[in-house]
Amino acid sequence: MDASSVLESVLIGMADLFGVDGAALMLLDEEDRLRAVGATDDDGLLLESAQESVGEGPAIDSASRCDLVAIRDLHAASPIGYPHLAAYAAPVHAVLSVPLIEGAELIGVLDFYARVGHAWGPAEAEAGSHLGELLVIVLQVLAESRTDAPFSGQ
Amino acid sequence: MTHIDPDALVASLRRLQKDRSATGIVHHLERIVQVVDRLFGYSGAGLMFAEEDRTLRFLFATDERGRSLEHAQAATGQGPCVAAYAGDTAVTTVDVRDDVRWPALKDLLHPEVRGVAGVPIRLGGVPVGTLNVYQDSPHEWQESDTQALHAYAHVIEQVLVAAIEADEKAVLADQLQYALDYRIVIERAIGYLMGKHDLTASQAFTGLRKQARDSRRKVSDLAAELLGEQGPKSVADPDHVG
Repeated sequence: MDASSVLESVLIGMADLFGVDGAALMLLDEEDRLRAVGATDDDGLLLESAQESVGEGPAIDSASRCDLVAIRDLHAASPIGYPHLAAYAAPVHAVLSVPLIEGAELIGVLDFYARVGHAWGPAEAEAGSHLGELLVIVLQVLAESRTDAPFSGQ
Repeated sequence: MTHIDPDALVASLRRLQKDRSATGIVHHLERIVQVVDRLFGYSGAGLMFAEEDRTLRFLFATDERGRSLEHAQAATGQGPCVAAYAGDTAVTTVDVRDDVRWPALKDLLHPEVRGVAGVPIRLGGVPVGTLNVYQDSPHEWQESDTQALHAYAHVIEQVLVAAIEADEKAVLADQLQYALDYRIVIERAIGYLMGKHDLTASQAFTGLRKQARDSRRKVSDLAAELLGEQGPKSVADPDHVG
């Protein structure tokens, strides 16, 4: 099983754990650009690729603030929603964007989403943060498991 | 159909990998267990892994109470986590202290270990260990609890798969064996601290963990130093994956 398959399986597991319709991931690349990496389904891919192309969205705001961003409905008028983004990711409504922090450094954003509007409560925000912690560990394992480059410090 | 962009993933992993030293699978597993504790709000959590003879051994727990749960099961060969491993299924108990299935456990358990759930961790469809959680009071486990634990165990399985892909099974096994072996050193250090400072096991374990955390060291290293000895050298150091 390769890294992509592991990551997809983990994202599916996290969406199940959280009880949402899906999870999607954006990660910073080597040039510090937030890039769409993957999702549990096509709607999640739409959400991430749309944010990457239009340059706005809850994941991008979450990354810039280094904080959780909870959106009840993307389709709501700005500043509550992101109607421009919603036009590209129509099936997605509620989004919880969780910044992924490794050490003190932002490495990406994990989006949980639902296909209906949903007000995210404090307990969900906390659970989302913990799942973000978990994903950071998974990404560290995947990074350390890469065999096409030596580990530093060896 | 996969929904992951391999090129984007590799670019990000390369960035994540840069200027960081590998910390080893056991360290990651320990962090994952600490997250499960906070995520679900249980009183504690732990991991047990099976040795070659299929005997479950304590790997780590989030606190001393959880340590007593895993130690008691390893010592008696019975308990909810042993049953979860043997039966390859989730096993729960409302109150492990009063459960007639495992009468030998009661005397070895911390009094605040009550409701317990264990789910198998599988590799290639075969159980290799268990994820264990407990509550400090009797607890009626719901199906949603065990479903969530299975999902969490699945994430652990994926982490193991990723580690195995790169590190070869033998190295991973060595790391887990190393961690299992070091439990003995920690147990002895706790006994040493209890005797020297007239502490309870709980106080000794908590103090050891705190000192290790404060000095950014592993509990096992600190325990070995306290005992004036080196850790096992026959297996790979999990901090330096080769």
